[in-house]
Amino acid sequence: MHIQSLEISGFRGINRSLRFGTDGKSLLLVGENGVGKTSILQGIEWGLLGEVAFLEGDEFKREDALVNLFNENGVAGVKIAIKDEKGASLEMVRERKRLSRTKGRSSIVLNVDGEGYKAKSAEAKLVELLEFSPEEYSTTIHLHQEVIRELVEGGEKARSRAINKILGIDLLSDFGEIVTKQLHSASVVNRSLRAIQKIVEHLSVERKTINDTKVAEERALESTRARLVEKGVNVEKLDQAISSLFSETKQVMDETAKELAIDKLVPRISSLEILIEGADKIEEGLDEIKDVKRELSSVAHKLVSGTQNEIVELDLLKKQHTSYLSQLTELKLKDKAEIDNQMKTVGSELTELDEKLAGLRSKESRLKDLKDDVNRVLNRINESSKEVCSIVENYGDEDAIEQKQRMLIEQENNLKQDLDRLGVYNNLLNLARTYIEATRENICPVCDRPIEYKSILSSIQKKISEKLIKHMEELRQRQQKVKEDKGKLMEALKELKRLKESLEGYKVKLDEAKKQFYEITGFELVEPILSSIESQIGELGKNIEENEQRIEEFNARLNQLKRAQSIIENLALVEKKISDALGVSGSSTELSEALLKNIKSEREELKKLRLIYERVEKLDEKINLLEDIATLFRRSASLNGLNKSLKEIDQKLLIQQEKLQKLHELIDALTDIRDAINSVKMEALEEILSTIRDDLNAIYSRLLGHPFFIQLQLIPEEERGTHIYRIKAQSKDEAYTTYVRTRFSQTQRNLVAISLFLAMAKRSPARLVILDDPSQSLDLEHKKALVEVLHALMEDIQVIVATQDEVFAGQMLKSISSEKLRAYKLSRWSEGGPVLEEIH
Amino acid sequence: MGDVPELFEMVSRKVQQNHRELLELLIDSFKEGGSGSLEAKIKEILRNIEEE
Repeated sequence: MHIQSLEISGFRGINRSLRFGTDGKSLLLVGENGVGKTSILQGIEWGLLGEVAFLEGDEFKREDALVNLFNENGVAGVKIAIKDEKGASLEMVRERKRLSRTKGRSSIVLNVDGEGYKAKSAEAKLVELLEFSPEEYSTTIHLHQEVIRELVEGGEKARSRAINKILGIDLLSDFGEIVTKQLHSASVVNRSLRAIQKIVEHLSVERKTINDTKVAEERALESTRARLVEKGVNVEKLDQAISSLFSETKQVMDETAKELAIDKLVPRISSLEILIEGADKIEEGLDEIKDVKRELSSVAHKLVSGTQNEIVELDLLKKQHTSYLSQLTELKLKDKAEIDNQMKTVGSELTELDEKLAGLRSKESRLKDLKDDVNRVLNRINESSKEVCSIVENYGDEDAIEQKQRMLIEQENNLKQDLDRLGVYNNLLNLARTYIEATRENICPVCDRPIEYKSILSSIQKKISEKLIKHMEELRQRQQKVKEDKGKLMEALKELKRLKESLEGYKVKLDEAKKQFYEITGFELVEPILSSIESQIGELGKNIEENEQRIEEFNARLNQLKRAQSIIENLALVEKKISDALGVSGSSTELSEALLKNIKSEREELKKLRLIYERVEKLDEKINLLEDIATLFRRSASLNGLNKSLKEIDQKLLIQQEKLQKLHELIDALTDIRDAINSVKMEALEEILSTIRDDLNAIYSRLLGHPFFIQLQLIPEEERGTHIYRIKAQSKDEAYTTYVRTRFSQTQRNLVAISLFLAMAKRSPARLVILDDPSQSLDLEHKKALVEVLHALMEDIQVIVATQDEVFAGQMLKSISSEKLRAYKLSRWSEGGPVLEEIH
Repeated sequence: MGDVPELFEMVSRKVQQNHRELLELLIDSFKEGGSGSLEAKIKEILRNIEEE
């Protein structure tokens, strides 16, 4: 397919109509960035396919990015004339009015060898003639900058998407990825599967619970039935059984109420009824029957208890009465007056004895105190006498001490006189010395010679002072000794006088003690004093003991009398109780006989009441049977309900299991489809990759991609359900391999992308290649190499190149003759669009 | 060369007979509206199963 001419107006950056006549030759569009080159390439794409790749997203939905903004008619139009390989001529015109969004219909008019087509028929004819899909256009005809960018800069996923696009398996891959996604555990399919499984599980648990309840209910029903059969109930004729049990119960209740005289229950019993219309009705009647029975039972029980209590009380009275009578017989005391008289006598005796005992104890206590006092005085007399003896022994008696004192006073006076004399001597000596010192320059008044006063003074001092001082010291010592002796004598004398006074006092106290002894005992106290006192205390002790013994005897008798008195009082009380209880009076014997008779009668009554109570309690057997029959009815109804629930759950389970089966079928189908897609994809890949490998490496080696890694390999891998491609490069000897992305520069990676695209394009039947700015980031050598490769392609493929790279464009114009290439320059863009100039 | 209709035809031949109807349904949805439409179709199938 070769484009013969192209005319564009009102499309994206192009406003005024631009016409390119190529005559089937290749086409070069040169111009600075933004001048409208890409718009022209997109115009070819839109003209042929009715859509433009990569114009996607929300913003393209909000405005029409196809119709030129300044076109006065608001119409985009592309006219393309084509000749195909078979020589057919095709001319198409595609137009579109401005819409509110980029995606939208365009009108097409097609003329094929003079035959015209419009609208849908034109679109269909165009697809038939072109022999490529929009996907193939993007992967083998038009190398968009976006694809190069994804190949060069994108991660594994973006790169793999781009390669898929180039290789033409992107749609299959996308389809496969969506299908695979549905098989992941977190997918909606699996979530739905799990949700339904959960419902099935829940329903199964519910079913099991109901079934277990049903089985338990069946067992209980069977057990109730067996119990009824065992009790003689004809379970086949339950209505009859109910009627019979009910009438028997009613009769017993009526008889009992009358016997016990419970008048208020009689009408209630006669109105009892039981309806045999299912468990609820039977239970209603039973509730009333049970209530009446409870009341009967309660009254009967109260009567039995009351009678029992009465018998117990009467028995107790009988026991007490007998006991008191026998105790009085034992004490031989029956007369209350006699007991009172005896108590009076014993009481006065006891008072007298207590007083006497108190007097004796007082005397004993006083004698003991007296004994202690006397003992203490005697001890002190003894101690003081010893001290007096000691003083007399040391200092003599009082006269001797006073005489010694007088002698000592005399000595003391003499010594004082001696000391005074020595003091006078000493004063004289000092006067002499003072004199001598004052007159030392003078001549001795005795001998008229100069006095050597120093030696005289020294001599006098030595002789007099020594003796004087020694004598004075002796006198002072003697004076001190006399003073001390005098002091001791004074102390001794003082102590002696004090002791004599004390002894006088003690004697007085002993006299007083003797008087007291006489007062207490009436006897004179004789020596030895202490023994006499002790003897009297011993006598008193014996008297006290005798008295205490007598008091004890009287007390025992008194207690006996009190006990008899108490028994008589208690007997009176018991007899009063008996009289009150029986309503009779009389002697003890009469009361005792009446009591025995009454007890006998109460016992007979109790026996009768017990029989009634047992009969009422026995009604429970019948009531229980009626209850069992009601239970039988209720369980049958419950079983019916459970069976119904089971059926409903089984129905629900069936529906959910059908859903589960369908989901499993869907998962199986999706798994099968996914496996088939993967298989087809791998087969297609193997085929494509093997067929393009030679072209790829031929183009790559001519483009001077890498100095060391000169062969390329495209290796598909599966990673988590997605196919990705690793682009690897090998050294010439195949000894070294590397990932293109890890060691190649951006330029080298661009060259890899271009090589891959051109290898694919060579295999395309369209024989048309459109390149948008392919020399980006290439240096001069690479640009030359790319021109050479493109030049070689132009042998049988029409190449359309748009570039802003003047060096690259110049290289193309220089290397490729106008026989093969037509070139236009676009410049000076304005609202009217760029200005076009043919340059080659 | 990966021709898309041909590739889908190959897939169709590889899947089991009883899964082809579903595959065609999915392919139609995919052709009609891409991945979003395909996912919506699968959800619709699920919904139909769940609501039955």
